[in-house]
Amino acid sequence: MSTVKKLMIVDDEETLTFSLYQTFILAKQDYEVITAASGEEAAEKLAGGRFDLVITDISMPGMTGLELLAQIRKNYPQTAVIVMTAYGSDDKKEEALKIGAQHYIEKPFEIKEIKKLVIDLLN
Amino acid sequence: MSKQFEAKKESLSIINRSFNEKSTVRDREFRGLEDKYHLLLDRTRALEKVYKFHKGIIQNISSGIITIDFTEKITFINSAALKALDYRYDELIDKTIRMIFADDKESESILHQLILHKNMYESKEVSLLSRTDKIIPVGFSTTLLQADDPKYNGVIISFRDLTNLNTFRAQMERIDRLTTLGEVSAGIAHEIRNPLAGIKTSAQVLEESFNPNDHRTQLVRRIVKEIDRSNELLKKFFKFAKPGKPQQRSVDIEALIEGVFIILTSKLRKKKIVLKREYDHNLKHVYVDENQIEQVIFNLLLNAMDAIGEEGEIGIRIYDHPVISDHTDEMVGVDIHDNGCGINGDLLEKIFNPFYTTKNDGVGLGLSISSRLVEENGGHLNVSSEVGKGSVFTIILPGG
Repeated sequence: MSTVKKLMIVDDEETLTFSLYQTFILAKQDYEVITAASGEEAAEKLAGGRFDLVITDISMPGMTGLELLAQIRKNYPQTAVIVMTAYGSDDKKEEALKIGAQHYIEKPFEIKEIKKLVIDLLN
Repeated sequence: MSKQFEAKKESLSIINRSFNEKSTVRDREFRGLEDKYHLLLDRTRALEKVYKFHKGIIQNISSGIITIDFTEKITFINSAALKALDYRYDELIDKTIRMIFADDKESESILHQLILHKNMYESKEVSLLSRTDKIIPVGFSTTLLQADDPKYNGVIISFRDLTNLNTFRAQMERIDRLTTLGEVSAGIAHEIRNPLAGIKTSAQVLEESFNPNDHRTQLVRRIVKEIDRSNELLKKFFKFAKPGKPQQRSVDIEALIEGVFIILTSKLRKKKIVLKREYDHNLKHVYVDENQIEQVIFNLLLNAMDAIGEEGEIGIRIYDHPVISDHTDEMVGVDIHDNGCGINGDLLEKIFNPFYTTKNDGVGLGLSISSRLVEENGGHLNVSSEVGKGSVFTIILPGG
């Protein structure tokens, strides 16, 4: 039985998805990392296979991160979700946690911080 | 003899009868007069009552009322007008109305319309001048006065002091302006934070690939440090745009202010600043978010210290019924005044704008955030200042 954990990073900011991809690919843990540049692309990829964790931005053109989160909660209740955002208000945080996100992280974050959240959720 | 006597008796009797008859008539006439006198007295008293009632209305009405004749002379002025203009009755009566206008050109034009063309004003704003040369913005209307005695014919001018209303309008405009600026700032901050997140994460991934002693590690750390510094500034933008929802409760304002003084003790001593407290001990509680208002008091005190320079005086006054509000009754005023450099009149409104600063090391968000915080707590923040004499910042907070 494979123990490889599968995670997806969703953001329209390519620099961030790429750097996070590098982070988790290079991590000591055995992760399979997929990236998506929009909510729609993420939804499509989610339909193609089981994911243990999705890390998604809130503000994206088209489907927002919160809409994606709601879809995940409905269709893939086993998938954990970390929401990240560059907004500075607590409203979005409260909304994300209410819909069912496991964690909320404000951009720009410390790489150690997001690594710890991922490890805690996946291991 | 007896005939003569009878005749005299008869004539005396006639005289007596006639006298009695006249006396009865006089009595009747007297009673009639007495009735008329009482009637007149009653009517005079009733008239007096009506007169006093009307006089009471004119004198107690909150609007200023002035009447002038067609030679521009003041023929009547009520108590509200005297109070607003700070004059005594005898100082204005029979004087020209022009002396209470702040602007000669404006008074010329208004009087021209009123006196020459008999054109009345339904609603107009003008500046009046008090005895102490204070400019009072008023809204006024006029009515043609046609009295029984033609010497009183002229114009009735009724006015209201708009000082408080104008302050209130300015506050509302400021809130609108700051809200718009807040939304723009938050939008910009959001857009900048996104790429910053990408840069920071990339830099930290890169850092992990270098040996800690590698000079490139130091360079990458500097990148991260600068990103964090920029992010701290962006956080302030958010704080200005949308201060956290206040957690309001009844707070002892005196204790709150004293707490801020303790934090600032060493700074105050270093600068030789004397504190002057004027507290109304009966007024201790305000209904606010303690942390937010503490931050406001802290900001205002730091500004006062900066305005003072090396030595001076900072005063704090707590009082009730502050003027400059639409509902002053349940509000508490806190004045923070300094005898520092003061602020030029043109700059007074600008100081609340975000990113406006006169300090070398400031970003210009202190007062704009303070203003937002006070508004969020249901209060107002105002300023008055005189160059060379100092400034007064007035925080009006809901009592509780």
